[in-house]
Amino acid sequence: MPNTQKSAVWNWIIIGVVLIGGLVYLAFARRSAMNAQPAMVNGSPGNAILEAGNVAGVTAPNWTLKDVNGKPVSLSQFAGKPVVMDFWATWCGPCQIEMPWWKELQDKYRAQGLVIVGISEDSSVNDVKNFLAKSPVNYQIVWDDQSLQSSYGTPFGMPTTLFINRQGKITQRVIGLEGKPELEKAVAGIL
Amino acid sequence: MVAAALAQLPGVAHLQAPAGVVAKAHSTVVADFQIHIDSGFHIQSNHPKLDYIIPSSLTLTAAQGVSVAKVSWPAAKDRKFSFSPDPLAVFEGSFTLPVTLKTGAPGTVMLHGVFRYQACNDQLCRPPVNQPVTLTVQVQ
Repeated sequence: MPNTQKSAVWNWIIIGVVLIGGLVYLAFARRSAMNAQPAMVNGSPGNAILEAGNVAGVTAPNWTLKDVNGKPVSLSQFAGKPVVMDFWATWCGPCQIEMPWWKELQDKYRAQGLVIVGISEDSSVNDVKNFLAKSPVNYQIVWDDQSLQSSYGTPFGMPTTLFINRQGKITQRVIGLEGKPELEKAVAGIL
Repeated sequence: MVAAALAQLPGVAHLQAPAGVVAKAHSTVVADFQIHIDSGFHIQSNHPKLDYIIPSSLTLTAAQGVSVAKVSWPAAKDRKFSFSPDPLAVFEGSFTLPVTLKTGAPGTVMLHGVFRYQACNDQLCRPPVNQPVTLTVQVQ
């Protein structure tokens, strides 16, 4: 093979390697973004679930919060079940996009034990009550009385979602609005 | 509520009061506040279109005869986001917020207040923030 042809072949090989490498990098970057580290933004690394870098495999700390009627609800009562913890607020537009999806997913996977818990970050439980009166949901809603801070830390923003498998381990943390297919895929991962 | 702790995170909107305002006694003066919103974020209008949205506001408590006569918010932009079926009224970027003050007797007056806002980008929303504000007015 003449040198010019050899050179052209090598050029195509190099381009191919670079392209494949780029695609692999993008795939990993996307995965990392799903577990993005808010500490980079808020400057408080710490070990809290909502602030630490990679939370996959971490046991979700138990909590007890109240629903809008004042009834206590604990994570431990869902032991052995796949759980979605969705941090949201009534003033959060992106959260409201996800809520109908959570309703659909709750119905679709209820028989498989899926428990979806919406954790409201509103300053007033009455705001949550009023919201739910207009837009009821078919999954559990609790109001965060700030007691989650010590073990879970502070979310950079809403929505922030944790996916917890039957062994009580967090499999994934999603910060911000995601597509329904991505959320369903994450749910499928904990069933 | 985690909101209280979240409010301690660095804000995405920043209000700067004018360095010093000099005014005549028993008259009016305009104090120009500067607001800067970080790129990619918006804050809600002072008159949002939807009832669940938290409006932006600036309040200053009257002191020693100096009080707020008017806060002149600029016109909000109608922007559509991936999470909003209809356009939302928002503020973005940097702008001036003129505040008209009524003055009383001569003296140096320090006003205290709060800039309240709630910011979002196309994918997430930050909790409401109450940023303390102080303004010194020299009334002559």
